[in-house]
Amino acid sequence: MRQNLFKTIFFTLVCIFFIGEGAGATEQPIQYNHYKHTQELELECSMCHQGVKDKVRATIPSVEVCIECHSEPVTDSPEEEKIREFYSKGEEIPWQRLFRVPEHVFFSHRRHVTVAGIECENCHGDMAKRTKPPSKAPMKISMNKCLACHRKLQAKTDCVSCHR
Amino acid sequence: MAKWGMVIDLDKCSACQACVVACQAENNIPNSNPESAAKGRNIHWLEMIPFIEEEYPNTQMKLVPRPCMHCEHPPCIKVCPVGATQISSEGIVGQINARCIGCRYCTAACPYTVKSFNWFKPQWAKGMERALNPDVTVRYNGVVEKCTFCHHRLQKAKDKARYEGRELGPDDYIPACVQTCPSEAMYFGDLDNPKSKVAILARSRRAFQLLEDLGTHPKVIYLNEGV
Amino acid sequence: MSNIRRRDFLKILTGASSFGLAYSYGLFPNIVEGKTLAKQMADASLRPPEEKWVSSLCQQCSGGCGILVRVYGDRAVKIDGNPLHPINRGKVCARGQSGLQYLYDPDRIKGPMLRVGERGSGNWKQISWDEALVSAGEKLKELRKQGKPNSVVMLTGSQDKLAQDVSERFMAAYGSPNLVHCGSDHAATGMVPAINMMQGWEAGVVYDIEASSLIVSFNSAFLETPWSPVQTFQAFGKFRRGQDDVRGKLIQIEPRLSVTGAKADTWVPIRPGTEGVLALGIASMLVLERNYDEDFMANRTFGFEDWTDKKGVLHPGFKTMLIQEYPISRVVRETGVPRDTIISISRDLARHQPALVIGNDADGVGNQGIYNRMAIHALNALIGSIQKTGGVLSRARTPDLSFLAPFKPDAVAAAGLSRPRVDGAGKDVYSLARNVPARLAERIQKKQPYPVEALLLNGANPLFNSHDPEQFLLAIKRLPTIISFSSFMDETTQYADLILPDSTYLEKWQLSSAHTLKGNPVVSIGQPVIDPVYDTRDSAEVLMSLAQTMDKSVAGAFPTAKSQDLIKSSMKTLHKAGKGTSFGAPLEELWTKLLERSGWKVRSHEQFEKFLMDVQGQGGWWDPVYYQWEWKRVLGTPSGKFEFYSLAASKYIRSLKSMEKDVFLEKTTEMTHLDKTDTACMPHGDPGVLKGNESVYNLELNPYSIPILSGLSHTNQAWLQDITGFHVYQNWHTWVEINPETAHKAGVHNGDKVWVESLQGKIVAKVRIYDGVMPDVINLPVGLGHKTGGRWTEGIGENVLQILQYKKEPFTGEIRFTRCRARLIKATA
Repeated sequence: MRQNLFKTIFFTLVCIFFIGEGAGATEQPIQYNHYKHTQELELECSMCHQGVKDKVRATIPSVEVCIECHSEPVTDSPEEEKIREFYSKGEEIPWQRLFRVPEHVFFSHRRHVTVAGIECENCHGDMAKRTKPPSKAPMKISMNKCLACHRKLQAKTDCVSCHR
Repeated sequence: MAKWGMVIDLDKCSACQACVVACQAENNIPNSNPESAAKGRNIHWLEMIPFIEEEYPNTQMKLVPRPCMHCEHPPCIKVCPVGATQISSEGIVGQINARCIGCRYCTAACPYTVKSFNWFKPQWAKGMERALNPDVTVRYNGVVEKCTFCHHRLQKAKDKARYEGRELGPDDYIPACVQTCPSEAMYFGDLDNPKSKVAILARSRRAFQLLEDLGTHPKVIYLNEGV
Repeated sequence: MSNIRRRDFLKILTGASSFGLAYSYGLFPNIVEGKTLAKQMADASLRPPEEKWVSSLCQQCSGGCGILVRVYGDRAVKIDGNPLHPINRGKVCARGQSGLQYLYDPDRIKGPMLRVGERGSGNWKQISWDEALVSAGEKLKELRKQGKPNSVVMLTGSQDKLAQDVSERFMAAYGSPNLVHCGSDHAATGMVPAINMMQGWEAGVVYDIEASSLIVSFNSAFLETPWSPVQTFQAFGKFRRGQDDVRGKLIQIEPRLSVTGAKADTWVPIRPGTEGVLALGIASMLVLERNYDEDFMANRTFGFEDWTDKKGVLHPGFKTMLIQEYPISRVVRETGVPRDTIISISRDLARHQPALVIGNDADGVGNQGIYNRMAIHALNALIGSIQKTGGVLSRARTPDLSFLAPFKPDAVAAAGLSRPRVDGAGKDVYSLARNVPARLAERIQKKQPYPVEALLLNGANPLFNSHDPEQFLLAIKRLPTIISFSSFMDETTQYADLILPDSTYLEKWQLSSAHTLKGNPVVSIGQPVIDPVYDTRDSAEVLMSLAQTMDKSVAGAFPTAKSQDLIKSSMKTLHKAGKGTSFGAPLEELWTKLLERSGWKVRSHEQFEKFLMDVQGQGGWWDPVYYQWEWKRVLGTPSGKFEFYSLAASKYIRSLKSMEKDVFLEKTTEMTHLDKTDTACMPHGDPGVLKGNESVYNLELNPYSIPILSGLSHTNQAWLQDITGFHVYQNWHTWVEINPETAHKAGVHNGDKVWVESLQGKIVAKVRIYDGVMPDVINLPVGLGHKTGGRWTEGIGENVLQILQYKKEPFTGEIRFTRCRARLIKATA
């Protein structure tokens, strides 16, 4: 009986935990405004995602990159203050990744962005126009999507071109 | 388009097995142990195979390094029910572990026995995982794996070459085994380019392939010992 | 819970199962599973870590290869060859590749430890480095205070030149003459003593394999256990296919078909131990058919023809000896090699130029003593291959690398240094020996010439590889203090009182001095590739910091406690010599060579800073110019010639007391028509005596080193253990190779477990029926059977050394494990 009780509690806990995660949205540590940066200030994506043009990985900027502009307040947003808090504590901002390919996939940003000239929207949707961090990736990355585009542009569709 | 192939000169090969260990290190192949070895379930993508001919005192032993043959007509892809193993337009026979359902038809179909099944959960003693190659995915139990001609190196090399706006050079992409081979017995390159080193060697009269008569057309070509 | 969708439900299931998995990891915290890793690897990519290739030095064996290590963030993930390094030119062997398993070995000693239980009980307490240093320092200081610094013995087996030099300096400053090298006490110097006898050059020789057209190898597994594996393999490739129109031919003479034998054109099976007799038989054929190099004999050799000494006594020449003692009938009878084969080898040697004759060299587990090796080397002289391209080249002098100015030992140290060594090297019967580790056990037990108070273990493991570990254990068990610097819990370190674990070669600065197979000196620098994985410290630095806590003169010998400083000053000395250059592309080096040959002095580096930067960045320094005709260096014997009759040996024998002399002659010579002293100065067949009753022990046991493990100081490497006996499909266990006929007679089958018993003891092995063995001979691989040291080595196989017969080598007193009689007993399941 006692054992059954434990099992029930355990299962419920697991349910709560994972449903919570499944239904829950990704919460970013700072309410970052992509629209302001890319549309109003017309900053290049690569200014913060520094690897996007010439590296395999686009990378999410480290707090060092943010602080270059935000060492002094430029707005009166309380969100901006958080950057300096993280920085002064010597911590990285715990950004949550929304876009990722599985680890058995080789994806090179520079090959797509620089060599092939693919626009960011193709994979990242309207991310650049969001005023608030979305709770989910605005566009889902799936193999079908990769393949559709590869076929359209007559790029390679060999398995081993991307899988590793 | 390139057709990647390998030439192994058995006359130069000293059977030192540097290629075998280089392959283990490069491709995150799980450590073996006495128990799995006793069951013949250790994984090697590249193995040194002894062929003993004749009896004492005329004994002769041929030692043949055996990677995947990357056949032009691979028997393994015909039997795969899910398309997890396929030949690419550049001739590399790949094994997509994420797609593999572990039916092991391909391991049975391969006449060269190059395919290994992950019978156990691949495990690393704590601390050893730090030596893993970040370019190669770690497999899990229940899937088949095999030599890929280190195609992750091709992906990186191509990416680099394209970004630099040039064609892939002959030295840009070589597998780990070829790179380390101390006696320089292994060659790698484009078999379709008649001027490449491998294509020239493949035309040598010493050239042969393993189990040629099966019609698999291996792209690993051996050069026989002797004059 | 009513709104659970199908997808969410699946998530729950997978979630629960991964929770279960995570839970099970909790039970086995020492194992990391692939799936977890896959996730970690994917997650770790917010910002990929920086990636670089760092040049360093491989120390798995003493070959001296330069490596480049791929460092990904703070992890070392791949080892490859340094393309600029003249020894390995971008290549590494299996051992080199496996360096990562050495570095990340989960069973390494992870920090300083103090023994708390009985000696050898395995009870340790983790302590801090400060405590450890104080504890070690106090003991050493106390002994110095008592005026007996000489009672400290350091056993070293380190391959790193920096560690060796620091140990030497430390012991000298401290005041003990007892620095004993014992990498493995079985004939680690290989061919060197034999060549020293005949050529008088201690640095030894190299074999120019790549330019040779014929190699006759006497039981030398040079493709498996070579001196410097990678360059030997490379040279082999060129030997076969690198020369225009010529394909080098390889004749392999050995009792078992080794991998080298498999790669050879001809395999000549021979009775174990009789290689010397065969070599002399071939020599005698060369002489009879006048197929030897007459010019070389006349101008550059001594003792070929009969000669008279100063006192007018006539001594037989090598030629006379051959004709009298080694008629072909005797050679056929003793070696089991057919007459025609002997004649054809001798004619091959005469026909193919340049040719090369190689003896068993790398590892002492063989049957060739100094006389057999001399016999084999004599063939090189006969065919005129001494100092010839494609022949035997003597190693050029390595320039001075001293890193610190000489110091003056204080009174305590001077008194200590004036005492005799515990192992007796350099005196009396051992006057020609530098180190006699084989005597340590006995001398320590007998407290001769004085009691030993402390033992420092610096890279040596005598309890595994000495000829009598039991005696050694008895000897050290009573010692008041044992301190080990080992990175691994090896057999000897188990008995230490204090462990100050060393860092591995990828975590510290090192220096190596080696030679190319063309004889050029190469000095390589190894820099730390990553920070120490565990709480370990470079043992050289530990010794230096210990010195600094001691008396002024000891501390004064080490103005620094940083290995990097020493390397810098060592390079300064090298720079001053003004020779050679930092590694470069082969073309650049060719240019340097041409310039220097024509008398230009190449000043490739005017400024030291630039020199240091290049040497460090590119991996080292070398001198591409090799002066081939420096006969004074090549032949440094008393006669200035190649000596078939060794004057050094003669002088040594004359120096012995009459009783010692009788014993010496008794042991070194067999039935001979010549004067015994003359025989003892010349090469002769030395097959050794097989002890034991032939009717009981009906087989002959032929030991050999496992290629993939030879030269390794530490074998807890799964990648290597997995390919030990690939030629007979056996790994992770000791196997015994048996001829099918012999197996049939003994009634054993492939895979059976049998006891292999000799007079010395017995071990369990798995039967491997193999056509590469002579009937009535069995082969046993040496290198397995560690009792401690980690999960991939302890309890794996058996220590074959323990059942072998051994013999003390004349002149040097080294222990040589030899073949012996044995029998098979079926093990019941």
